[in-house]
Amino acid sequence: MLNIQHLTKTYAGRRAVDDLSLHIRPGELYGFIGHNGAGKTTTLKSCCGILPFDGGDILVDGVSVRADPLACKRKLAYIPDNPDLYEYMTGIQYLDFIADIFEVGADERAKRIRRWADAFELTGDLAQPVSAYSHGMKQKLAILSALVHAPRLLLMDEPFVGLDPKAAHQLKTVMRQLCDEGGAIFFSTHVLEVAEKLCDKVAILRGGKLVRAGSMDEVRGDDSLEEVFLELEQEGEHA
Amino acid sequence: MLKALLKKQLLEMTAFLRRSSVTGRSRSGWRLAAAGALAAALLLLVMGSVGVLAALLCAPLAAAGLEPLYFALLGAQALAVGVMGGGFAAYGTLYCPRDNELLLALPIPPGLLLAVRMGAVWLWGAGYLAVILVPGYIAYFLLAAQPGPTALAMLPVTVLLACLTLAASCLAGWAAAALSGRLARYKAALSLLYAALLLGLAVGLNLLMQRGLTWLLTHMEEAAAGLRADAGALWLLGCAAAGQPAALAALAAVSLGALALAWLWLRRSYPRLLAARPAAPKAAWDAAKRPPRRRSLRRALLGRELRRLAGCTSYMVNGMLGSLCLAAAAPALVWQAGAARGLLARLPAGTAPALGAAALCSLVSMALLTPPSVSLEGRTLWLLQSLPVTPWQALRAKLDLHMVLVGPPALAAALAWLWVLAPRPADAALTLLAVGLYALLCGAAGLVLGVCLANLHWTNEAAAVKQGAAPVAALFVNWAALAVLCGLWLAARRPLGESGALALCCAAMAAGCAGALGWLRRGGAKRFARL
Repeated sequence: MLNIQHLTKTYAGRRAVDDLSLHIRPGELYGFIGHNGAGKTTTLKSCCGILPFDGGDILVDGVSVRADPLACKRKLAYIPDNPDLYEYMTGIQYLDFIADIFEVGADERAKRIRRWADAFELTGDLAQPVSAYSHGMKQKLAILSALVHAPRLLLMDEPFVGLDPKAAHQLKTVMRQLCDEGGAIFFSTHVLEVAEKLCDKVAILRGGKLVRAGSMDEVRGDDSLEEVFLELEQEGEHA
Repeated sequence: MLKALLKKQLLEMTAFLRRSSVTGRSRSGWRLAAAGALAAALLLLVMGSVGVLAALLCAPLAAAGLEPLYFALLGAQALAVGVMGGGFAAYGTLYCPRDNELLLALPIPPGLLLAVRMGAVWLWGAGYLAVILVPGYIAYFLLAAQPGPTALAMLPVTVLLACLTLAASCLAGWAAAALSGRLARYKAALSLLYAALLLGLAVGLNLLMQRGLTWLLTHMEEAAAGLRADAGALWLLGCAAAGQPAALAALAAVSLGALALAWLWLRRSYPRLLAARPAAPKAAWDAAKRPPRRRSLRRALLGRELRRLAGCTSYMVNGMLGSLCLAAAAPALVWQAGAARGLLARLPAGTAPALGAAALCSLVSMALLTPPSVSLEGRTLWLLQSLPVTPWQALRAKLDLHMVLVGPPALAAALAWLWVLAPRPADAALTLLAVGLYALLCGAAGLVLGVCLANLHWTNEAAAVKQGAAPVAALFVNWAALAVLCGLWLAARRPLGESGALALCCAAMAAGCAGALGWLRRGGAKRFARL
């Protein structure tokens, strides 16, 4: 589904992502963890075509993001960590806009909007302008806009930040469901307990480099994910 | 505590000088000096203009011993400006400040907070008053035979009028705050209507002033008697400003009384006002009542641009100025057709179509919808970049917005002009083509500038619209293009004739449009994608 091959991205002489290779297969819920500034957001943005990258390639269902970015973007949805949405639109106007871009039919979109808006308890606020939304509501709206066009690949940057417990639980259910139906999710998080419970596989990034990747059992062994992560961070500091 | 609050208030009031609204960073060194010098220069320019106008009135009125009339007119203007400006200051400082919750969480008595904020509004009001009063008084000191007694009255009159302005501003600001909560849904339409009214008022006042001044200077005694009889309060203001003690005492009583009333009223209601939330009714979404309709990609992107325009007051007012003027020109031409035909009769034969086209194009020049449109993407640019939308499709939507909002009023104004002119069919077609091509050229050129001079890191939308490099450059480029086209027409007029020269200008504009659009499709799209 998502094949990151030797991805390299440099900012002003500094390698933010250094020769990263990962393969996320259909049905996989892939977690991505690392310290602040490790290169997680850069990787995610490169995957969805927002940031050009300097080396390597990224393939979405076999299609290169470099060669045909539009075809890749039609298959995926991206939810950033801080959703700067169109404040001058209402929630429903924003969802309609996204649905129009992805050519979602009128009946289908109405069904999906009602389903997900009810699930995330945002139905009553869809007619309000986004400028009146709290951070958590904007996050929910960003999630809804990702689900309205039923993407095959979901890229999320710290999706649980700002969500209330019920919404966080709902999102985890949706994520699992999407993967069970053959989609794939690649998301970054700082909440290691969530990653541990939810993810099939995890990759740990440090200083732009991949330090460990694999199934949850392979990566953490007998320890907790937190212990493994902290150990790797300490190794990195001493190196 | 009072010192801390006063310091905070002063920092807020001077923030526009010390901090760049484009980057959000503090200005320092030469940038700060330059901002201060620019503000001072603008202020001196405005005061200078007021001074010149005041001098025109002052000399004859003072010579006729009608100082109260002079000061009544001066005071009335100053009060109008003071209340308008002070009303905005009261709205932002008293009723809608952003730090209410922060300050309420601190051990600050609400009364003290109110006093400091009212003091700030008083200062703003006094500032606006001074812009009119100071040059007016200076003109009087220079031109009147015995300015002595009046000199003593300048300071107390300014202070007392500031108190009256403060009371009126508090009321005006309260009304604005109360209405804005209820009318938030119509904010865009109301802003456009307000801008159109201001434009109409400015033009109307300008015309009235010219006639009014002429009448006043030839009927001074009559005007003074009329004012004393029909507007006693204004006459009293004029006497107070001229230094008459009894009138001054009356002004003091009224101003301080109004201030006291405003204080008492706000003192009671302010704690409640501080914690209040806007009372706009909450709209509900019901898919059954408004079923969704699928739109094409192009229409969806155009809809997004229209919503952005409607959601940003400064973008709407600045960007639509040209369209407003064109929309007003159409009925104005029809209404004043007789006068226009009389003017046309005096022009050299064959020049009217081109001159008309040039005049209409000068109005189109003021439509600045595309230049700030790229910068306005701001922090939401990631959305377009993550969607299956090509950079050219995104840019084309901005051009569509320009043509949808400028095209129809330009066409209406051009048709009105042709109705007045009644030219030959070929000239009519060329005039329409010229105006249409110029509208497209302005839109495309503005978009080129918007892409090349994009600034996505603004903290205030108004900064992206008014202070960005693209809108400023676009205005000059539009005027320069028009000047070049006029020069081309004049140069080609002899060899090709008036119509041939106009056709050549159309060809030049078509080439310009093709060049700009071609760049936008390729180089511009690449540049936009890299932002």
